[in-house]
Amino acid sequence: MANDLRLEEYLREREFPTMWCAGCGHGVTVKGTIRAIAKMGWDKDDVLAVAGIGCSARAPAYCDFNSIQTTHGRAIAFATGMKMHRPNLHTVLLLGDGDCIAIGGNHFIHGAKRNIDLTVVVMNNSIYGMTGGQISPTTPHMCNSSTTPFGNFEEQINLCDIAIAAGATYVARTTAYHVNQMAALIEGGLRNKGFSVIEVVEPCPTGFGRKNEFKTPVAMYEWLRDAAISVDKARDLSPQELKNKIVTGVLHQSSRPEFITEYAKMSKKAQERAKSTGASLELMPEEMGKFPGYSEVRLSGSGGQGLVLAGIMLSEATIKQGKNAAHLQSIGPEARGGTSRSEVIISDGEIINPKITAPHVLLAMTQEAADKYCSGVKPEGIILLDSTFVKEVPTAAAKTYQYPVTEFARDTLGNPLVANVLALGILARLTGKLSVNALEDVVRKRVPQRVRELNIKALWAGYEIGKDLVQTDA
Amino acid sequence: MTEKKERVCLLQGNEACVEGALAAGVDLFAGYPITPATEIAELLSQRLPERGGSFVQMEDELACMAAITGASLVGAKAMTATSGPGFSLMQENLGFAAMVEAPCVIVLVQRGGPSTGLATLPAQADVMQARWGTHGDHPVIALSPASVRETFDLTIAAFNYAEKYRVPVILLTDASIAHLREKTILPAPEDIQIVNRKKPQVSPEEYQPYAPDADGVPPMASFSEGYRYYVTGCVHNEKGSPVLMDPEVASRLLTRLEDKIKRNRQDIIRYDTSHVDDAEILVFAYGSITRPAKEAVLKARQEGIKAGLFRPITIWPFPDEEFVQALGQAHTVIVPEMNSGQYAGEVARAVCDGGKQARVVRLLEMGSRLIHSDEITAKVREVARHGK
Ligand SMILES: Cc1ncc(C[n+]2csc(CCOP(=O)(O)OP(=O)(O)O)c2C)c(N)n1
Ligand code: SF4
Repeated sequence: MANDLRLEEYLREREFPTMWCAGCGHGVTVKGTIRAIAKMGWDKDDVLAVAGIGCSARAPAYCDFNSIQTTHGRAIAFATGMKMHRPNLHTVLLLGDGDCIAIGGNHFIHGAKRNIDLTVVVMNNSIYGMTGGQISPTTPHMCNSSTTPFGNFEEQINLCDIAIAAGATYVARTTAYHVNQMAALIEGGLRNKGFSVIEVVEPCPTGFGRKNEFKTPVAMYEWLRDAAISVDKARDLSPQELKNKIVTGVLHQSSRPEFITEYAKMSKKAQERAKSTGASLELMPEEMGKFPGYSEVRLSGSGGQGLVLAGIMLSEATIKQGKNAAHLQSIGPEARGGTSRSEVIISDGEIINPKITAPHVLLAMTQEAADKYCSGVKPEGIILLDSTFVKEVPTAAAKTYQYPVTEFARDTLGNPLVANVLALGILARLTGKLSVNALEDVVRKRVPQRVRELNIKALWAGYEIGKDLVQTDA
Repeated sequence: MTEKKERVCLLQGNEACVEGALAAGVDLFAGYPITPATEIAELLSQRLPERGGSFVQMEDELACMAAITGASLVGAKAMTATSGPGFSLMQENLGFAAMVEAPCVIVLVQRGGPSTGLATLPAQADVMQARWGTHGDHPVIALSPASVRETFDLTIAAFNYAEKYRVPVILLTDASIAHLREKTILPAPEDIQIVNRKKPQVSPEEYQPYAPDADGVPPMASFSEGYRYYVTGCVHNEKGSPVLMDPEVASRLLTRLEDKIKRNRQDIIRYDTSHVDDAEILVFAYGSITRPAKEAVLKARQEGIKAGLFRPITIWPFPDEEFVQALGQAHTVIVPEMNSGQYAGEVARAVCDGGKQARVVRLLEMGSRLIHSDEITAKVREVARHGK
């Protein structure tokens, strides 16, 4: 099989000689990867080779594919964006062990979790080669490195186990000595439609071998030859017997939905649905409104009373009335408990600086909000207090109305959540400047179907209540 | 007369950003939730699949920046959105995007910092992070809107600049604009200008991925179009090959990356002025402080004080020439900003480099309160009282 491979067709010889040391395993793994790709018969234009940073990460430079060396540890994240936009690119990642499972561990886990169709070849040489032989998460216990002068007291990580646990659908291990097995296993990964991991245990004579009593590169290959044991044989051995062994072969294979395929399905459905609903945000101004000049409205209470939505609907209704409007809200922790504010500026002209100085209209739906904001209302303004919650009426220069808004919503309309729309109805009448018809249009658009009629009922009920309040007052 | 289809709506800043991105032709969004930018991700998680585009919530912001850069290299118009903490995580890959000249857009909705800071409140303290956040010298463009409509326009402009100059472009907004809703009239699609990256005019054999045209920008073949080449964050020559020990090649590349922005600054610099012609006091404001500043200047004028406003829309590169021109004979520049004076330092530098004598007065807000127009007016009055 290897005989009819014309390796040079796949190499970017312009970039030669390679930067790798004599005896380095990276070149062996590149050849195994190319053999597997050649076996697939893929056009080079359709292959994407992605790496991170490290000696290993130079691999794509030497391969005549669409090749990219990204940043240390992030190759899988880059490849995720690439694969999403061009699902047809056969995407192979060539990662160092440190690159893959130390700095890139989180992306590795999430690639496996998504089961995105990427083939990850991990060139595991047990060490950080590029930076001069520091420990990697894969360095065996008590081995030497340039950052473990007293020996590596940490246990090594098993990246194949992690891949399996995180959801990879094809996981295999081989060594740089077993070149035919390597090509076959990588091919298996390329065929799998999902996240595939092929760990190749490799020699790094320079960064690992010399420090760990492998006198020559040959000694390292002999170690790989002798330490390897097939999955089948390994099954009968105890953990003790498997110590210092490299278990090779296909370790795991399963079938699970693949990320890009699932995304495409979801997107197709979303496209069909979008066509049928044709969502729109237009607000065509209809009638010229009666809100003269410039006004500021403050809706206040606590998070969960629907005041942000009320502010949005009020703004939209005034835009429909041909006005200019801006809406400010306080969000976050405040809106999840404390005082919540939703403020609307209504103007005939440009709103140079959207801010509230002294509101013309205030709605206060908690005692705290009333205490805080009543005194700030313009003397000629209007205050509406929800007497369900506001028991003590703060002194204020502005005309103050009280009504148990929430109580009415709860007891008479059957749902306290429509108190916000009920209040808008009352304010429409009290101010005499807001078109209830415009409000009704907006409520229809904004409120979910199942509570739409109830909200419209609340709006008009509010308008009637407003009438009574004005009459009683007169 | 054909009827143009403008749209009148009440739009939030973050919504306008989404509308702008869609109008500009965004293909892929990679995001990670963070206040006050989250609405952008939430909206695009619906709108992109509905148009056959890609949305993905990544495992962190490093991954977001990686995913959009990768997508850009295979031909996508790609975007992410975040706030200060997430932007910090994006920095290494942002530098990579600048180095490999991958067009992309990063929306940075600023909030109070450092660290978790004030997650829901506005600030302008990432101005310098937007310029110098990643390591090394690198080109960048940053745009700063002052209204909802401008957020829409500048999101489109961000994509256009990214595509035209092959740089990451940052849309620098903040919590107050992101959450402000305004009546907004969106232009008809046919009135929106869209720029796409230029493609190579030569065969794959002749193509040199990093050989620039006269404008300093290399034509960009996307991976998968038959032009196989090598992309690396290492210093590289015109062919894209890493060249690690040649100062000539390194300085040629890094100088070109800076120059492609510098020499096209006329096209990139956007700014706004009012009442600058006879101004003795210039208020220099940007982003969400623009509008209080504008109000303050109008107020001062009513009081007979010769105040003017200079407002950069393009924050990076800094609009040196335009500012110095607007400065004219003004004796004082007042810089109100929601940070410890990050941009005011740059203003002082520009005054000096421009050979001017004006004094730079800082009006700073460190507690994430929007600077009030009254405070700016008071500062203008104070300066006017004391004269030069
Ligand atoms: C963010 C970052 N941190 C650190 C480095 C330095 N660095 C370069 S390669 C490398 C480790 C490489 O080891 P590995 O991934 O196992 O690949 P090898 O060199 O052994 O092939 C490190 C730490 C870097 N380039 N970027
Ligand atoms: S240091 Fe190790 S990994 Fe790097 S090229 Fe040399 S042998 Fe290979």
